[in-house]
Amino acid sequence: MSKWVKYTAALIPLLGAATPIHLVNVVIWPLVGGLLYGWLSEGRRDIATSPVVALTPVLVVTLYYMSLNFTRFLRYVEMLPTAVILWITSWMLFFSLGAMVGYVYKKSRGNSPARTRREAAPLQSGETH
Amino acid sequence: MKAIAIVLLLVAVFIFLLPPSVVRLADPFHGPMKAIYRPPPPAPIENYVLTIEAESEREAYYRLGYAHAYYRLFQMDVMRRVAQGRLGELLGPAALDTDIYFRTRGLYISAEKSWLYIESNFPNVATVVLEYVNGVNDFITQNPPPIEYLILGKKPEPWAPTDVIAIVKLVAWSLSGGEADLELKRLADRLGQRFLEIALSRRQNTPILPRKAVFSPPRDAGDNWIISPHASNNWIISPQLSATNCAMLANDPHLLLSAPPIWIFQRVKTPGREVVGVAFPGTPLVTIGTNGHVAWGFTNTGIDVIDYYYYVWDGDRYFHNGTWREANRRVEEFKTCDADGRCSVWKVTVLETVHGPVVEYGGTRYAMRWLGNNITLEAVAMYEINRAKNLSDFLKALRYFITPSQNVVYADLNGTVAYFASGYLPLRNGGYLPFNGSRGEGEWGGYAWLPTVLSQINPPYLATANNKVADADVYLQWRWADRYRHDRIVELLAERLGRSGKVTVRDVMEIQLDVVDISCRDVKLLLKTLGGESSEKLLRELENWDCAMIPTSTTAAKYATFLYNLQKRAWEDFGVSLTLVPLEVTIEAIKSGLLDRRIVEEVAAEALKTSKPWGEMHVYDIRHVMGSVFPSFNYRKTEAPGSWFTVNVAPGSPGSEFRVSQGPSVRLIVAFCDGIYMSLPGGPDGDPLSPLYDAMYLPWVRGEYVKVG
Repeated sequence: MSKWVKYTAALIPLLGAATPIHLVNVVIWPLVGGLLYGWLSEGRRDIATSPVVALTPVLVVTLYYMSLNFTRFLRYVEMLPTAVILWITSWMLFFSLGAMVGYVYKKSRGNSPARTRREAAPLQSGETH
Repeated sequence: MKAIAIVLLLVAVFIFLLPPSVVRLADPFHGPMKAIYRPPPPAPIENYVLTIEAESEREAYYRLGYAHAYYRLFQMDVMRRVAQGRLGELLGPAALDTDIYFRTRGLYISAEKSWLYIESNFPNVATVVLEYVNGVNDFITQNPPPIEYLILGKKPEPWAPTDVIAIVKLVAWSLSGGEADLELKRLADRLGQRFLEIALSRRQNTPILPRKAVFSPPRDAGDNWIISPHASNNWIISPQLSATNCAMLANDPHLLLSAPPIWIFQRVKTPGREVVGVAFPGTPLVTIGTNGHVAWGFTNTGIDVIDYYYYVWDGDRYFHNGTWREANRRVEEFKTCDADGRCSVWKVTVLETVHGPVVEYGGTRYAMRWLGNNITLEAVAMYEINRAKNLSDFLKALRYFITPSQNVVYADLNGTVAYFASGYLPLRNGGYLPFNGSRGEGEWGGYAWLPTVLSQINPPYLATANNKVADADVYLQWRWADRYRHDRIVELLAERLGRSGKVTVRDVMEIQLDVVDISCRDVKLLLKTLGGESSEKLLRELENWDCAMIPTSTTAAKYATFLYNLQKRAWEDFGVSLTLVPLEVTIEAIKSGLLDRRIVEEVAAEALKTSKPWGEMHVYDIRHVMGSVFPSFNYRKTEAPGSWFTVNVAPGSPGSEFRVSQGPSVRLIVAFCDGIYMSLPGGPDGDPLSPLYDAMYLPWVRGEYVKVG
């Protein structure tokens, strides 16, 4: 599987365009996207960068609205900055949270037998816990 | 696994605690951000004017309704809901008191009756209203709601013909004086008969009509349909005195300044007819404007058409004119819904007597009789006025204009200019204080149609500024405005005429923008007569000042502080609003010793402490209905020239750092043979995301005009 596949999970919040339930769009979709991203991630570095990855759908939505009407978009940002901040923060927060949970869950399932074996074995040279 | 479960549980708790309003705000797809998309306009705004062109009247008004909803739906809905007493369903519990106030007074009930009457008796008017309503409703069903609804999580309800009439009733109520008679009673109870004499006679005044008006015997018993502090300026100039050699009309009605403005400037063009002027969003017809044949403008007369009655009560029974009667009970249910969709229901029982709904003031029950609670036909009047071709048509139309009584100025293409006090006067003995309803006092014995008595055709020029209409042999009014704005307009017109013999459009603009407060002449006399050391010091400063309330002047700031504190010290202990009593009355009451004369000196000493320029204290504060939560929806605060008594009026509410939220709601000049000029305090488009939202606001502050015809 390509290492790029995990980034498709970042587009999951865009499903909100088809769901008229605010809570789903603000919390659930980014959380689901994050879970998938975390599950597909290969290391902790991916999780650490998940807030930045969460900005991908933000950028897509921003570009969409800018292309619809640039002036109105700018006035929206100027008049309702709180709404914009809430949106971006919630997507970053829930995506990152999902990523963390997804990653930990994957590790706890996928690595638990190996970890048990490794814990039983003595440390090799150069290997650290 | 345990850690994951804990994290998920915490997330779930967090989600549960998030208020739905916050989640809605953050939703980029179905929250307010959705409003960035907007369908293309159904009708263009050209030079700040909403322009409708159509092949027939029906089509024109359908398209107008659609366009009004496109540009102003939220504002229309708020006005409709205020009249209905249902604002709390949209804006939450904070609006409950407003809802109870208006529902108690029964505005929407009388609007329903009026609409039914119009529908059955004036089919042409009904068609215009219905087409307009269809247009509004088609907009609502075919388009996403405006941003305000997306923020609130609400949806607009369909528009009804009664809503059109209800908005007219709401405006009429706001111009009818409300509880002023009850406030006058409070002052009269404390200060006695001498105060009433001062307040009612007002020796220092300049009536619009110089001759005494004679009403008795009643001139008009009223037609069958009538059985059942705002300020403004307008003036007319006859062709002989106009630089265009044609009639000229100017009007700047002073109303609440809001974002978006209370008016929408529109041009409705059908084959053979073009009506241009301002309309209230939510209503189809031009209220102030011109159709190319005639032009008309309004200011409020303040003629008293509200009476209050008190009775001997026994529970819900009241004694009226020798008989015990059971008050009618009307149970009103109010719903308030907050931003998170939590709703509460409240019930209020409204009692009604033979005179009208019962309201409570100062612990006493009063029944309120308001002319506007009858079937009234202002919509018919405006329909006919919009079509009038000459004075005769115009006067016929005015017969339907019942309330609020207006100083109507008229000018036409043929060079006729005229003045009428419009509306009907209930004929009764008194009316400025509440009547004893148990004794049968104050019953209305018919109506006088005011234009038969209060009119003037073809004066060389004539101005009105809510000043006294005329001396009369019956009681007309007690709350007319101080004479200063009127006198200043007349003074400036006379000055222009003295200089060149003619008045130009530029002169008229300059007069509308004049900020000289001639009340300073009376105040200087007061200081001279009654003041001490501080008064003398203030007087010396005022003597070297031209009385111009310009933003850079510190003397203007001192003067305004003096005026405000004078009114405050004079009246605040009586529990009445500071704007209730005109300055002329305050000065007279002080001079006569009715009020403590020492306050002049004390107030002068306070005024001298002011060191800021006027523009730093006195600023426009023009708000959107949701502006307290979303301040960026309000117009930018900026220094406001003028004051309470300047032609370019800008009454500050000093308790809040002289913030100005009333003023010229439009400046309109119709100069036949030249053009139509206007200036609006805001933008034509009510959508805060539109660049036109506040497009004309700063030009209006600066006193700029656009030529729109």
